[in-house]
Amino acid sequence: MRRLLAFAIAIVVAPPMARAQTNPRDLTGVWIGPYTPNLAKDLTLSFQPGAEAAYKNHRGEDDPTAKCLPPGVPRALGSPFPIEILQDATSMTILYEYMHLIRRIPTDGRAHAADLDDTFMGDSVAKWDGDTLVVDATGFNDKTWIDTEGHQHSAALRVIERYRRTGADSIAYQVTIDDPKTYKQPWTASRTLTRHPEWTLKEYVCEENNKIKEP
Amino acid sequence: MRCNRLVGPIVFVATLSFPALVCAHHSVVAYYDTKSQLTLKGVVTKVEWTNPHAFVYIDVRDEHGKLTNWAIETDSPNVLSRGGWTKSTLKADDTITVVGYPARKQAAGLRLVILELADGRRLKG
Repeated sequence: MRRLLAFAIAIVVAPPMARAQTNPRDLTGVWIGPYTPNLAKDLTLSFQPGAEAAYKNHRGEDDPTAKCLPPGVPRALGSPFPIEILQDATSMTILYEYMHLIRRIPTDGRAHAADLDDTFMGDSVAKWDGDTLVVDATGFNDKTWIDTEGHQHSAALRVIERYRRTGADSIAYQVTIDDPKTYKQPWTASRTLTRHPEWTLKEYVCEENNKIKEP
Repeated sequence: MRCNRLVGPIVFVATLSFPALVCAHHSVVAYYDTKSQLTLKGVVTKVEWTNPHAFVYIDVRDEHGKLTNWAIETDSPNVLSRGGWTKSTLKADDTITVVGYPARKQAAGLRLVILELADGRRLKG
């Protein structure tokens, strides 16, 4: 009887999300990470010849997003706008409020197609490593920046993202930048994504009232 | 802090903290002098509740009586609305006080850091 009473109390006292076991492979929902204008904050990067000067001498006016061009990966998630993740048995879709971008990501372990076009958002494939979804993205053009701070990349960029559900309202997100033409070694940054079930994605039309003119 | 001379005392500024700006669309530093801050009190003439950034226009009268219409750039309405603003938070003829970074090139432009409404409510920009 005492055990039954304790169980009943636990049910009443526990918050609703704690009652339902979170499926660690369920990444669905509306999520946001901290605004990350400098992905390499607190890191010391080792640049290839010429790449450090391109970073240090960049002009903010040349930021591709100031012209409403897509931010690319991973910058689309470093913005102060949420994403929504949709999933089915063999794929994940990420809807980005920022610039209204979409990534369709097969999660069935397939490889990239051969001879990819160079695009702003690249080509992504994913597979599960335990309960961590590892997303491998390549096929990028060199027209985006990695962050607002002006870290740049070449078309040789490969981005590895790791999404691990750590709680009802949290995903541990880790991203590795591997661009041997720009950086001597791959480098990695991490942050936490927080779930906001009370939010829905809003419209974002960058061209609506962009007052930034061509430099 | 650099402040222009305004009609009426501005007493709340000293009590404000200045949060880091959220601006994904472009570098704030490229367009605004983030090393100085300006405080303006004025009357709202127009609100553009638009992406990628909302704008508030205010008429500010200086100590010589000259009226200047300032363009106050803020965050995206998407970010503002999640921070407590709505499209009707500001209306024409409202008197507001703004603190922000002056534009580098634009004659009367400011990047909003924080705004105070006539009723004392404060909103991040």
